[in-house]
Amino acid sequence: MDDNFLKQYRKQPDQAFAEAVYRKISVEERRVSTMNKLVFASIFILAVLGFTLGVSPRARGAALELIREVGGLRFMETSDYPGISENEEILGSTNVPLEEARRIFTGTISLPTFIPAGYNLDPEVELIDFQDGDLPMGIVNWKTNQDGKRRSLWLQIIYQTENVQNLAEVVGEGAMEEITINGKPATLLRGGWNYDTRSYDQDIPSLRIRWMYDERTIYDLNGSQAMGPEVLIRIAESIK
Amino acid sequence: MSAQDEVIRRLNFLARETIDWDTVYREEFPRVYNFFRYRFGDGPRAEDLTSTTFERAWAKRGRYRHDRAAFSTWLFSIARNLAIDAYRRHRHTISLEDVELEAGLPAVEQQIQEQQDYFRLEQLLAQLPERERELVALKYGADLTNREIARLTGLSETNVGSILHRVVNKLRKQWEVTYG
Repeated sequence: MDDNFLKQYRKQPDQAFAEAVYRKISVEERRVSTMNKLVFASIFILAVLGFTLGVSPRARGAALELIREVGGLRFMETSDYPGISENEEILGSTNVPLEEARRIFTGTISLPTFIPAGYNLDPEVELIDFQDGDLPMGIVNWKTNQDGKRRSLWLQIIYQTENVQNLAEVVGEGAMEEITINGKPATLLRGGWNYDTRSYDQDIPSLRIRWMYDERTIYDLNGSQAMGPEVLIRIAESIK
Repeated sequence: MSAQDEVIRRLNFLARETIDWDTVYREEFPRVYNFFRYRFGDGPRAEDLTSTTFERAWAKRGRYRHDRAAFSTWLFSIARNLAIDAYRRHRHTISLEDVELEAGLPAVEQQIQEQQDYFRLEQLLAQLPERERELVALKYGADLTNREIARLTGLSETNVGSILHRVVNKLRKQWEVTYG
C-alpha cells in the first residue's frame, strides 16, 4: 500500500448529481448577476431619492452641502455607509442585442475601439429603466478567463432626462481622483462599499472611470485594480 | 435586511467577484466529493455534504478574499467545517455496519477486485481516529499538498507529513493482517 494505492479509489461524481448541484447554483447566479448590475445605479440614485423625496428643506440643504463636483460630475463624499434607505426597489433588466439596444436606448451607446486582449464582448446589452424612465441605463459587458479567474469589464451608460435633478453618487472619502478623458474632466474611483464592515473599502479591487460623454449621458467604465488605471484610461479614451 | 441593504451586499459581491465558477466547479467539485468519500464513505452523505459545500461557498463568496488564501483553501475550510459538524452529529451512531450500508454491499456482478479493495479500504479508514481520517481524506481524497493541509488544519507541514506517513504504515499493516 502506497500513495498511489490510496489515491486510486477516487472517482468522478455521478454526472446527474454534479449537474443537479450546478443547476442549483446557476439559477442563483443568474438571479444575482442581474441584481449586481443594478447596484451601482442604486447607490448613485440614493442621493436623488434622498434629496427630492420626503426630506425637510433644512436636512436637504445640509445634505446638498456635502455634494461636490469632481471631474464634471456630482459626488457625495462621506464615510457614512449609505445602505440605510428603506423602500428601495430593485428593478429588473432586459437583455437585448447590441444593435437593438442602440435603436431603443435614449442615449448614445458608443463602444471602445481598444479592449485588452482576451476580453470578449457580450453580444447583449442590459437595459434598465430607473425612475419610470427618467434614468434609463444600458450596460455593456466584456468577459475573460485568465489564470482560472474571471475578470469582467463593463460599461454603464446612464442617460439623464430633464426630470432628473441633483444626481450624485455616494462614495467613500479619498476614493476619487480627478483625471481627463480625451481632454474632458473625469473621475477615477477606487474601491467600493463593504457590506461586512459597513464602510468604504479601498482594498476592494474595483476601479472605474466616470465622465460625461455628452450633455446628458454619463459613461461609467468598470474594470479591476489588477487591470490598472493606465489600461482603463486607454479603453475610455478609445470611446469616441 | 432592507432592500437597500441587499443592494449594498450585492455591491460587495460585485466588487470582489473574481471567481470563475465554471472553472472552480469543474476543478474542485470532484476533489471536494472525494474528500467526503474518503471521510465518510461512498454514500449519499458524501453527495449531500459536497452539495452543501458548494451552496455555502456560493452564498458566502463575497467574503472570500483572494489576497488571503487560495480559493481551494477557502473552499476546503468550508468542507472541513461541514465534515466536523457531520462527524459530531453522527459519531455515536457510526459503526462498521453503517459504513457497509453507506457503501452499498458489492453486488455479485460488481465483485471485481477494485471494488472489493475500495470496500476494504473504507472499512479500515472507518476505524481511524477522526484527525487521521481527515488528513487521509484531504491528502488522498482531495489531493491537497501537505502545505495546503497544514494551512487548513493549523498543523505544521512537517507534522502533516509525519502523521500521514505513520497512518499509511498503519493502514498497510492492518491491510496485510486483515486481507493478507
